[in-house]
Amino acid sequence: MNNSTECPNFSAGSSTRYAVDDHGTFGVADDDIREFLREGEHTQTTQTKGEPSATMWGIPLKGIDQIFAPPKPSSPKLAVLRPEQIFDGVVLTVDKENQTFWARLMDRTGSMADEEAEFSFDEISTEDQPLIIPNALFSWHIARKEHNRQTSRVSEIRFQRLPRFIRLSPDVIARSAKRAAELKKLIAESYGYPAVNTSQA
Amino acid sequence: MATQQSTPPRPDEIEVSVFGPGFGESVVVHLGYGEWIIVDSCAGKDANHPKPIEYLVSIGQNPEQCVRVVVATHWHSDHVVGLVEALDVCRQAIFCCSDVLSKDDFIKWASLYQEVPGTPRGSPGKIGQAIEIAGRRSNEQERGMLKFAKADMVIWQSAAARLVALSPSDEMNRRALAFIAHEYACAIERRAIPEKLPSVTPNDTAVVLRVDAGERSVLLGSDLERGQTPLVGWSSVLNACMATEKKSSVYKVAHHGAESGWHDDVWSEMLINNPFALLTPFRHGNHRLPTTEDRARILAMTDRAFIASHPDKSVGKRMPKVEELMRRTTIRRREASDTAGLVRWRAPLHELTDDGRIELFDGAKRLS
Repeated sequence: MNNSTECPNFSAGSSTRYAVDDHGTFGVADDDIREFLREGEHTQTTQTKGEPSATMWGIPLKGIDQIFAPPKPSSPKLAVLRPEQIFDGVVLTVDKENQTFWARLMDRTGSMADEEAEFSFDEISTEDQPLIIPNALFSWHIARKEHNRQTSRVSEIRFQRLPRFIRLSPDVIARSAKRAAELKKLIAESYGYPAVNTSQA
Repeated sequence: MATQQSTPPRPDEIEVSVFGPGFGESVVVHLGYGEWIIVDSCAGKDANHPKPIEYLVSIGQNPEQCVRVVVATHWHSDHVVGLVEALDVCRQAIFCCSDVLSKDDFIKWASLYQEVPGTPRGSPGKIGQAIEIAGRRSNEQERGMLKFAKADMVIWQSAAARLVALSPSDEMNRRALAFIAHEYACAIERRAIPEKLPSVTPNDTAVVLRVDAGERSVLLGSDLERGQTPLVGWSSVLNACMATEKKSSVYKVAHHGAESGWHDDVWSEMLINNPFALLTPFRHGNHRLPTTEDRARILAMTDRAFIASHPDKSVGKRMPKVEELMRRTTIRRREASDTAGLVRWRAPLHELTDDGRIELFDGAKRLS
């Protein structure tokens, strides 16, 4: 939780707000930064860059551009994910009674041998659980998460959305019929040739 | 005496090599005097490099010339990976599959799958492709290079060896054809084919083979299951005229040793006492064969049982933090089945006093 309070003695004489978050990170509210920068623009015309020109709580400021550039937004920081292990997975068998499934895992980040592992349905999001069927494909990402100077490891398993049936277009059906006719002809012709070292018992 | 994996068999030796990466199975048999057969196919370094071809080349054989027959016992994906590629290489080989796969409905159904790219690798389309290759080969060579197997049929024979089909029976064919006709009708009606094929029924059409070479016989059980009536499955095989005319000393155990593929009479009527039992494991998701009970059942019949690879393997380690998260996310993990272990049996064709020897490569082990 952030604690906001009034800054009693900003060098420009007006009060402003600052914030300290749970980790002690200091931040100044955006409006006040913009206001102060505007004020700085006025004063910067008469000052030499880098020379102390103002104070904050009695501390000399070395230069507005050094203190406030680039402006630090106080909005939440995005977490950084650094992938450490990625698997491509294929569901082998599903045990609905015990809510578990076995899957083959293929290492996409290294050269380790394929593995097979048993997972509980609990490891899969509710949204993806209906997709747990034999031959279903998924990816498993294990990553280092960096957020607010904290490091942790996260795991995410996501299933691909694939149809359970392969649609047959009229064209495919027609081609397969033609292929079947050719295959039958080949079989019939094969019967017409002398057998290779065989005899019927 | 142990030999290197790359050492070829002597001309007067029979060899049965069983490859099993965990998901996949292939059997390569030397009939003697440089003639070979391939039964089913699994991936070598990838699906485009069939393991049986890689192996034959590795022992100095030329698959283009030496392979006489390529058999697809059924279309399950663990038996047909690389099958088309293997047949393509073996230019002098005839192609053999179940008789039901020559029927109109299957041909039409397979053609649908052939027209759709990216369909499951164990699809009927693979069989369709193989039939097409063999059919064209018949035309080119003006010889019958296609053979549709059914019970009591000699698939191939030479002066010293022959390959006999002991299944499917007429009833197995009838049932399989009804299933195929139904699937085809559904596909046309809904104008769509399922991404995942129904998986059980094809075992009803599995081709069981016996190899007779010299004084030796070998029974190759494919994935045939016991069956609910005497007309199908192993019961029907036992009723086949040629089934019990010779007892085999080596058995490629049916259906990865599963109870569903077990029939007591196979062991008493079709095999010698204490035969060599060669297995491939089946690891696919939570399915794992043979189970502890399966292994115990087999070991009660023979103390000479070997499996191409172990059903369970531990996995390699990644970054500790990543490992920790993976461990928290998953319930169990194991290495996927990729390396095809090899169980190899070689024996003199004619000296029955010599039982032959077993060699184990690439993770193959004695069954325990």
